[in-house]
Formats: sequence, C-alpha cells, structure tokens
Amino acid sequence: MAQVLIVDDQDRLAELCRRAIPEHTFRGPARGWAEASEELARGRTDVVLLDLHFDLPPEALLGVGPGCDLEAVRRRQGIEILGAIRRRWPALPVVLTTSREELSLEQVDGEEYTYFLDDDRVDAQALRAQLESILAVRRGDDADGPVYWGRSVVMSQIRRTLAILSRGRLPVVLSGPTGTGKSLLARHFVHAHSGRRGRFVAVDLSTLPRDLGAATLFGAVRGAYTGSVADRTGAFEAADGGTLFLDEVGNLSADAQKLLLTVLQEGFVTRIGDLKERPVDVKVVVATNDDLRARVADGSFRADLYTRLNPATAVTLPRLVDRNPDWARLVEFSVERALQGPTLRGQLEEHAARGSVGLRRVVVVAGGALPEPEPGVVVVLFPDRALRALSAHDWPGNQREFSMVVENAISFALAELAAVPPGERPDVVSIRSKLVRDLLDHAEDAPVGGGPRFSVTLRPQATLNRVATEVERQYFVELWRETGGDFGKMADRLLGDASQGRKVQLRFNQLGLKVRELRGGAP
Amino acid sequence: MIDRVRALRHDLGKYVALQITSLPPDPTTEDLAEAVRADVLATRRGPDRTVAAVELWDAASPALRAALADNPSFLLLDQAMEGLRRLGPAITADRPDRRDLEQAASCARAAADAVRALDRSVRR
Repeated sequence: MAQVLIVDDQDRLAELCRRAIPEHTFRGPARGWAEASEELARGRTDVVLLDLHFDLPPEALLGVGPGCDLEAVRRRQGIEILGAIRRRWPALPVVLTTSREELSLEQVDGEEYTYFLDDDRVDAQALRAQLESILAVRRGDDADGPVYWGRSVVMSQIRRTLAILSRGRLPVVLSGPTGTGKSLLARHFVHAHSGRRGRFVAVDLSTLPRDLGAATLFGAVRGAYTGSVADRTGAFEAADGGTLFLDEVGNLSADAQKLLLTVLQEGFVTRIGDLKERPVDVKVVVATNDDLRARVADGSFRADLYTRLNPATAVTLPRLVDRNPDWARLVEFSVERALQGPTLRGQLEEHAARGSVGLRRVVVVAGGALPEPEPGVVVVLFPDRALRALSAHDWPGNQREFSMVVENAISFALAELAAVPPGERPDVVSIRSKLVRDLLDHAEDAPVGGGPRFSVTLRPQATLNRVATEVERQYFVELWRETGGDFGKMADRLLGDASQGRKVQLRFNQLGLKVRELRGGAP
Repeated sequence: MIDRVRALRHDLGKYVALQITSLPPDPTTEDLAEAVRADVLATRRGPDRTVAAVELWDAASPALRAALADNPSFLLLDQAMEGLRRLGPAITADRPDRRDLEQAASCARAAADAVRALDRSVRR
C-alpha cells in the first residue's frame, strides 16, 4: 500500500482516487504549498499527485511578486510548488495531473522524477496503471529480489560498483559486519548480474574442517586422503561457467590458499591427488569479516593471493543503522519477504480463515493509518510505537537480525490472535510495540557482536552493587550519546515510556553524570 | 486567447468527464446519475465553492466567441455545452431517465474532447 499525497485546491480528484484506487492511501488534498510541505514533512510519501491551477488567495501562493499577474501565478502554481518540492525532496516522484502538451513551453524541475498524465482527461484506470508503474520503478530502485538497497547514497554507490564488478572476470571481495547481506548479494546480485549461465555455488569455509577445505573446493581422487573412497568433484568444477562464493575466506588453510591462487592465476583446477588439469571459468566472490590486510601483515594470509583477489575494488557493506534506512519501507519489504515462506504464509491463511476473511492480498502498514476493511485483504499493522521501537534499536546483527525480528513478530502476533478477541477486526494482524520490544530485548542477549561493550575493572573489594552501578553508568552515557542527550528518548528506550524523562534524568544525576562534562567530552 | 483556452482546457476539460470516464462499462442508473451530476453540476469543487460546467462555459465563452466562431472545435464544444444546459433539469430530477443521463454523459465526453482539440488548434 503506497502513501500518495494529493496537492490540489479541488476535492474531486482525491474523491475519485479514494473510490477507484482503494489499494493505496490517498492523503489530502493539501491546498497549496504550506499544507503540502507540512504533510510531506509529517511522514512517508511515495508519490505526489499535483494539480497545476490553484485558485488561492495571494498570501497562499508561491511566486507572488510586486506587480505580478496573480491570475498567471495561479495558473502555474503547480510548477512553483513542484520547484519547492524539488528543493527539499529531489527524488520524490511527482505526477503533474495534466498532460505534457499543456505545459509544452514550461520547464519543470527534476524531470527524472516528474511524470505527466498521458492525456489531461483523468481516467482512474489509467491513473492506477501509471501509479503502479511509478511504484514498480521505485520498488526496483530499492530492492532486488531479497536484497534491500534502500535509498542511501552509500548503498547506491555500492550497487553501481557491484554492477560493474559483476560483469568483469576479476574476483569480488565483500566485507562488512555480520548480517549485512554479503551472501545474499553474492547470489542475488553479483551472480544475477554476471551474465553467467552456470550454477551459483556457495561454500562456507567457517563451517568446514580446515583439512577438508581443499578437497571441497578443488575435488579429490579416490584414496587422496583417509576416508576418500571415491572421486570427488570440487566446488570449482561445480561452478564452472557460473559463480563460486567463498564465505569467510580468511579460514582457508595455507595449502588451500596456495591452490586457490593457482586456480585464479592459471584458470584450471587439479583435484587433490590427481595430475590432470581441468580448465574452469568461474567468477569468484569472497566474503570476510576479517581484515585481510592485517592477516597478510601477520603472515596468516598469503600476500600474493590477497593481491590476486582484487582488493582495490573490495566492497565494504555498512551496518544497517549507518544506511539511514526508511524504516517503514524496510518493514514492508521484510514482511513481504517473510510471507513468501510457506510456514508464515500458512499461519496467516489459517488466521484469515478463522476470522472468515478470504485471503487474497496482504497489505502491510508500517506507522500509518489503518485502512478501511476490504474483502479478501488482511492488514499486517506495525503501529507507530512498534515502528519507533524498531528504528531506535541499534541492530548489531544488521539486516539478518531485522528480518528475523520482523518474522518472529508476525509469528508471535498470529499465535496471540489464535482467537480473535471480541471487538477486534479479524482482518488486522496488529504487532504490539511490547512484543517488538520483547523480541529486541532477546535479540540484545544474542551474541551477534557489534553493539556497545562495557568494561569494568574488578578490584579486590568491589561489591556487586559497585560493579552494577559502573555498568549502569556506562550504559547511561552510551544512551545519552545515542539519543543526542534527549532524556525523553532515553526513557522510551529504558522504560518504554517517553514521558518518564524526568525519572531518567534523576537517575542520571544519581549516577554522578553531568551533562556539561559529557558535552565537553570529559569523562 | 491562448491563455484563456488553456485555462478552459484545465478547468472544464479535465473535470467535466472525470467520474464519467472512470465508470465501469455498464454502470447502474444510480452510479451513472451520481457521476453525471458530479461532473456536470459540480465540475470544480473546492472547500469554498462549487461551479457547474455551464457556469464555467458562460464565464469563458463570450470572450472567445468572436475570435473562434469559425473554429470547428469551438463549434463542437459550444454544441456539447448547450446539450448539457438543455439536459440540466433532467439530470437533477428525482428519478432521472437513463437516456437523458447517457446523453449528458456523451455531451460531457464530447466537451472534454473538444476543448482539448480547441487548445491544440489555437496553439497551432
């Protein structure tokens, strides 16, 4: 369900859209720039429908100057509003609800994201088709199958870089913290964009015994090692003509590193215990959490292999929180992906059947208004508070953790709704913010790494209270920094209630913390 | 002249068949009546006022008539608007005749098409 803002001084287009295109939420009409900018700043908007002529008083018009022709300003007010939108939201799709023909002499800002009607006779079917095509492009902009790119500058650059590297012959190195989607990218982006028709083969070197790594990658002949009772094809041969993804490449043994170097240099593979060279054409993608340069420096990773892996073009994936994601869109994306799995989909279908709602379509609402019931439509609702809890979390497990929390949230919510409580809408699966917070608390216990770490020096006579207070003190400092010194936000994180800021501030003072010192960077 | 016709194209042409054009192929008489009334009698509707198609035409046409009297698109538009004027009482009746509604819908579509053709011809 897309959020569409209508900017128009008339009511009729908004009424038509709500009636004829119920699958999307139409807000407005905002009557002029003042209302439009307020609405745009308030929340997520996927598309704007913007009229051209605004019959407004002079004080409500943009572009009014001394001695100007007011009627002319009204007639082209939509162009003025478009210019103002472009200054603040340069990539927001805007449909001018007029034909390009009508504006043949006008220049419009942000042509790439500005659309016109094919004809200025507005037809709901044509408008729906146009909206769908804009939204499809937008979805395509921020997702590739299971890969969520979002719209951050850093991810756009990574996407461009990987698109180039995917087509080349050289290896691709993916690095970055756990859960940032290295294996997803290798399979669903690098391999998909490589133009190769062979298989995608993945080998996780962190789970292989080191002495089996070489045989797994390069194959072996019978009797090459203890227990080798038959000839074995290696991953390189299996991936011939395709892509081989080596996860945690830093775990390769010294022997396997040498063999890998040979394959990369010579383009043929020799099974362990064999003399026959077999040509292979494989796109190699490696992923690592390790700092391979440091490993070269300490002698545990071959310098020549490191060079051959093409480290100059290594792609480092950022942490989820550093991508500044659109949380509502990320929730939608993750729910849609989760519901493609048969288990969760089955649970949802059972729930719909219990409430006598024939399930034809699932609509995800994250942080928005609950739509009116519609036959065959089940709404998965993440209310504002749940969305805020998700966006306030630091996601040390990154996108993998996010997907798991979202999937768990739906699963638990469905279990809680085993019988639809009286008075509740059977077509709505609402994810309570408390459930989300509980899941996040559990997630914080998981050893995923990357989150804040506190250290306490144990002294001979340190009491438990003293140790606990020190940890609490460090935690408060961390939270204070994360929330920009906002006690309300700290209270929301600590107590789930932003109105308890005063209580948190009192405890802050009791712990001997001083805002002035924290601002000044003093301990 | 160009600006006046462009304004008419936007104000009248865009809205006079807005709901009619979006009706399903064989609408009920109630749906047809609702669409025709909305398009023809409340062509422009904002928070402060409602303007009918005929009022928009009456406000714009005197200034255009002398210069465009021989323009075929203007004549078609004039004809369509007169049709809407004539059918006004019929479409506001408690139980409007379906044929009157269909005629009004046809006039509204013709008006929308004619005003666009007029705009193109004036620009040329």
